Order: sequence, then C-alpha cells, then structure tokens
Amino acid sequence: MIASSLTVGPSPRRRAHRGAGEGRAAWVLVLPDVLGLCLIYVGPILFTIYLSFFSWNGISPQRTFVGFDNYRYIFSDPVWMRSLGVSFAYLLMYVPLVTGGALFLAVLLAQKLRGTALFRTIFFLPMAVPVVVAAIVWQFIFQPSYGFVNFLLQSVGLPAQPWLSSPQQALVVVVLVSAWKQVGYFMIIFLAAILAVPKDYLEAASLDGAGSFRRFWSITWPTIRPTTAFVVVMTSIIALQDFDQIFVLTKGGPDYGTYVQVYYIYEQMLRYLHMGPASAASVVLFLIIMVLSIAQIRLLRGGRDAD
Amino acid sequence: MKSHASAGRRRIMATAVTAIAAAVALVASGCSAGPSADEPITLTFWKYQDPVQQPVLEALIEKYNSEHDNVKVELETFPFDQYLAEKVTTAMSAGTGPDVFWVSAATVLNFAPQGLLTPLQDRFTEDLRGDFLPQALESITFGDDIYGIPHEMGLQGMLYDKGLFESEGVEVPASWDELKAASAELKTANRSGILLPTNPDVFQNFIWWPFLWSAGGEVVDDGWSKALINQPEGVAALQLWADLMADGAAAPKSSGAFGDELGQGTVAMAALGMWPVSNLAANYPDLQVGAAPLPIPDGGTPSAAFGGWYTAVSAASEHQEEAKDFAVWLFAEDTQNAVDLTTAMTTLSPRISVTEELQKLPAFQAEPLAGFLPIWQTARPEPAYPAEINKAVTDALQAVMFSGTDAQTAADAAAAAIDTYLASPDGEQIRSLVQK
Repeated sequence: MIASSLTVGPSPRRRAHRGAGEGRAAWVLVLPDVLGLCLIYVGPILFTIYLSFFSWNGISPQRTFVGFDNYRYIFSDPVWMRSLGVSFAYLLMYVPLVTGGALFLAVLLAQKLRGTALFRTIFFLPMAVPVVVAAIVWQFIFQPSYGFVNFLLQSVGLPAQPWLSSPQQALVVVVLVSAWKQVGYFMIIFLAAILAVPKDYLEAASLDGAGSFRRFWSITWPTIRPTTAFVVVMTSIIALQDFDQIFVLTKGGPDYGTYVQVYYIYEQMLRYLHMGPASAASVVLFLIIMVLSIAQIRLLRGGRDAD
Repeated sequence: MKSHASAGRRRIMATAVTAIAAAVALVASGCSAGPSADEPITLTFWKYQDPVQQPVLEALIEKYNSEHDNVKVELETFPFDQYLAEKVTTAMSAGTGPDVFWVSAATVLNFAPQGLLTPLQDRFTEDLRGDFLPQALESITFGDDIYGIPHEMGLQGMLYDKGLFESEGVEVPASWDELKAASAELKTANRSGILLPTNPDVFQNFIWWPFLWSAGGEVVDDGWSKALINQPEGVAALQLWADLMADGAAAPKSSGAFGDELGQGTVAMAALGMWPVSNLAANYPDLQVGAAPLPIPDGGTPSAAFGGWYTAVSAASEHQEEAKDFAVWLFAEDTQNAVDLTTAMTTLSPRISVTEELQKLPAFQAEPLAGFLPIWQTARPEPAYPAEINKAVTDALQAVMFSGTDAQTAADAAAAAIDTYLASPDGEQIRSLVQK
C-alpha cells in the first residue's frame, strides 16, 4: 500500500511533502524483503521458464534453444502422464482428508473441555518434527512384514496388508504421513476462525431451540467459509508439491505408485540431467497449481458473495 | 513533535541503510577470500557418509597433509541418498564442485562424456596398470581415457543366517529351484525367506545383474547397438524375482544395502555381498553370518558383480596437477592405504597387490569373507550404463515384482525403451565412448 502510493512521477505537492520521507524510509525497509523475494522466487521462476525452451544437461556451458520441444517431450512421455494421474489421485485423497480432519479436530477443541490446551499441542506437534525423521518412523509403522499397523490388523483378525509394497496402498500411506504432519496447522487456523464466530448468534440459535449440529451447520460453517476456502487452496498446493516423505518412504515406487509430479521433475533433473524437460514440467505444474487455485478461490468466494 | 518524528524516521533509515551496507560487505568479503602467495592451496575432497570409511580416510588425509606443505586436503561428506544426484551435480553446475570426489559406476556417464572429469591415464604407469584387474580398469575407460581410480571390490554373494539354517536343517541353496524351495521352507509369519532390494534405484539393478548373467543374459549386445534384455535369459531372470515376490518368499520391502533384516531375524537370506559383513558383526554380535555364491539356474554360470566407486578429478578444479597427485596417492600408490580402507570395509580390492595382502589377514581367511575369495578374479565390475538404460531395467523389475506384470511384457517394454535410447543422439555418443 505504502509503496503503491509512492510510485514515480509528479504527484501533488502537498502529498509529496507529507509522504516523501516516509516513503523513502518505507522503500528502504521493504527493499531487503523485495530483493529476497526476487532472488529466491522470481529469479528462479523466470530462469525455469527460460530453461524450459533449451536443451541443457545442467553442467556444461552450452545450451541449445529448442523451442517447445521440451513441452512436446513431456506431453508424449507416458511416465509424465502416469505421474500426473498419481498427483491428482494424491490431491483427491489429501485435500478432503486434511481439510475435513482439521475442521473436525478444531470443532472438538472449540468445546470448552478440560485438557484442550494439551490436545492442541499434541495435534500441532507433528508440524515441529522434520518430515524426514517422521517418515523413517512411519516406515516402521507401515512395514509390510512386521509393521505396527499390520500387527494391529492381525490382532483383531483382519488380514495383513502390503502397504508400502503395493503401488496403490503406498500412495495412501504417503498421503497419510503428510496429512498427519499438516493437519495440526490447519486445525489451529480453523480453531481461530471458529472461536471468532460471534457468541450472540450461537446463543440466539440455542434459545430458538437449535441443537449443536444445527448451530454448526447454520452458523459456524457459513461464517468460517473464507477460512475453509483458504485451507482448501493451501492444502491443494501442498498436495501438488509434496515430495519429502515420498523420497524417504518409497522413492516414487513401488512401480510408480507414488511417482508424483515433483518426483518426475526431480528425476528428470538430477537423475537424467534433462534440465529442459524438468523445467518444462515445472512450468506446467506451476500453471496447473495457478489455474486450480484461481478456480478454487473464485468458486468458494463466489459462494460467499451469493449468500 | 514534527521534528521529533522526522528524526525518528531518519534514524530508521540510517539504521536500515547501515544494515544493508553491512550485509553487502559481509557477502562481498565472503566471496573475495582467496589464497595468498605463501598459503598452501586447498583441495576439497567429497564423498558420501560412511562411518566405517570415515576414520580411515581422515587418517589418510592427515598423513597426506603432514607430508605435503603446499597442499591442504579437506574432506567433506554428504548423506548417501543426496550425495551424487543433488550435491555433486548441483555444485558442479554452479562451478563450486570439489577438486577430487568419489563417483559411482552408475553415474560416471553423467560426467565423463560432458568433459567434466580429468583423464588420469598419464598417471597410470605400466606397473600400475598391470596391478589392476583388467576388467576393473576397462569399466572406467572411455575411448583411451581412464576417468577414475577404482578402490574397492565388494563382491556379491548370498549372506544367510547360519544358525537358522542349521537349526532348521535346510541346505544352503545353489540353484534357483533350491532357492525357491528354501525360501518357502524358511518363511514364517514374521520372517521372509530372502531379502531382495525393493526400492526403484540402481542398487536394485546391481543386485539383479548376476541373476541375469548367470542365466546367460545381457542388457545390450557387445556393440551397444540393441537391447538383449527381452531374450529368454533376461525374461527368466525377471521371472525368478517375480516368483519370489509373488510367493511371499521375498521380503516385501527392504531397508537398504546393509541387510539389517538378517540381524533382526526378519529374513533368512539376503542377496547382498561382502560390504555389510563388518556392520552386521558390529551391530548384531549374536548373528552367525554365512556366505555362499548366488544361486544359478540349471546349467547356468556362477556370476558376481562388484560395486564400483572411483576416485575422480574434476575437470573444473583449478589445481589439476595437485588434485591428480592426491587422487593417485590415495589408493594407487602405497598398497597399505588401500589395505586400510578395504579391511575396514570388509571388501577386496581390484588391485591385485592389495587383495593379495588382504588374503593374508585373519578376517579374510575366516567365514564369511573367505567364501568370497575364490571368485574375485572372474567377477565383473558393475556396468556403467547411462541412467536411461538403468531406468528401463528398474522399471521392468518394479513392474514384475509389484504390479504382477508378465515378465515377457515387462522385458519387451524395457527393450523398447533401451532401443529408443540407443537410436537417439545421446545413445550414439555413448556408443562411441564405450567402444574400445
């Protein structure tokens, strides 16, 4: 805001007089951040777009301009197509799981019961554990031959499952691990929104005879809608960018079962040294995330405006 | 009031400007630190982390630094999973890579054809050449250039839980049929018969090569003109691993290359080799490890590969001669250096004089290491295939092991991918390099 009111060009004398010193100070103060953003985000994004039109092994000095060849390469690569399917399956499991789970936990914690502070901490704790460390522990839990989950299943008479050695179930496991880590963070966000719902509305509804479910559905849920929109957009972005726990638990396998888009990019770049296709796939993923986010924001915000 | 406020603003600005100036100065000074005339030059030496190798290399580097006033070698290690792909590749592309580093057979073709490695053949005297097993030097020679110094020879074989085999009265399998039978017999609810690598990476291929070779198969023909993996021999070797997995005889998921499952009692056998022996002895003192050659099909030839890591010199190093001096000194001059390393690693060496020394050591005369000695001269080095070929083979293994894909179908898909690669300009370039 400050920056935009101080763009170059002549401005009314009065405003200039009042704002010039402050403006310069503001510029100087935001400069490190802006420079940091440019260096860390904008620069690499532009460089990636640039690289997506070149053939380059990432090491040698020469790059060859190849136009849209890298895009043609990934679109005709069956592995890329397969990976896109895996990423969307991941997204479809992850977003409802984390959004629903976080909302459910937040609703529980919003009840004024004993020990909520403790549970809030417990649910948030996974955020503080490095994902690589957590993934190693999860590996033991979902180990097919002697893991804890199979032990539990067998102790209640259910058959043991292959988990990390089945392409389908391995995807479920990597989704669960990431969801376990993220759910506490989004729970806190939901909790803040729920606690900000005006008490008068809820009390009035109680007096009118609304039960707890009805109060949630008719008052809390519509009121926290912007928060829900935010959580859905954020979890979708996370779902399409997840990588770490997959690298530790499955290396993209078994048989491409967890080979998400970022894994494809990683291998194109660092295993094959195909910087061009890796960059093209990054640009495509960037566009997918952007379009999806815009669509989600429109859809969810549009709903609120109509209310 | 007004002047006070503007003084405050000036102070904020002054502070901010000072902070930025200080930051810039800090970065600039960090960049400009260079050697002065009388200081020794610094060589960086990179490798992956390994607790067994670490003390040996630290001692060797200390010795080198104390013997050389003009050079200071600094060792840096990185987690194994990130070492080659992330650290070395990204550092080299940024021009900040090491002077000397360890490169694996599976990735040397990422570097050598790009002119990123310094050829070392001028340091290989007649005597030194003669001291290496010919196949070990051949595997790192492209055209006339030798791109690395091989320093270890971790031969493959079958490690097994000797106590378990004795108590169950099961014979150690020598053929594929016996392997299937023994695995099925030793399998319980908490124990698998055999450990095969399950992660989709080059280690999985590495362990599978001797199964392919013992059946008489090859990945590509001698001239690297076409894929052979979908011939009946390759299909049979894929089928064996598929069967072991489907029967539940093989462990559904492996922990890595060090066979901890043997020590934990969750597998009876492991298709591995010499390298885990020291770790298993240290971590599982109650385990009695037996070693046997890998089982072969009826009428097959016994085969083993040995893992390939090489000391290489970066072509981007500013101190070419010093880097070459150090790389050669490390494991190609004094026999004792290499003996120290391979003793700690419980592997042999592709240098004949080193392995002759090792054979005299008690540890190598006792089981399980003694079991590997008879085969060392005929073992094959891990082939230096480009990533595209390795990936095609891994894909086939993953498909037959985890998705129930028919072995012939998976082998045909791999052959098609390899043929496409060999017909491409990249394939053409590799062919010209590997042809002797």
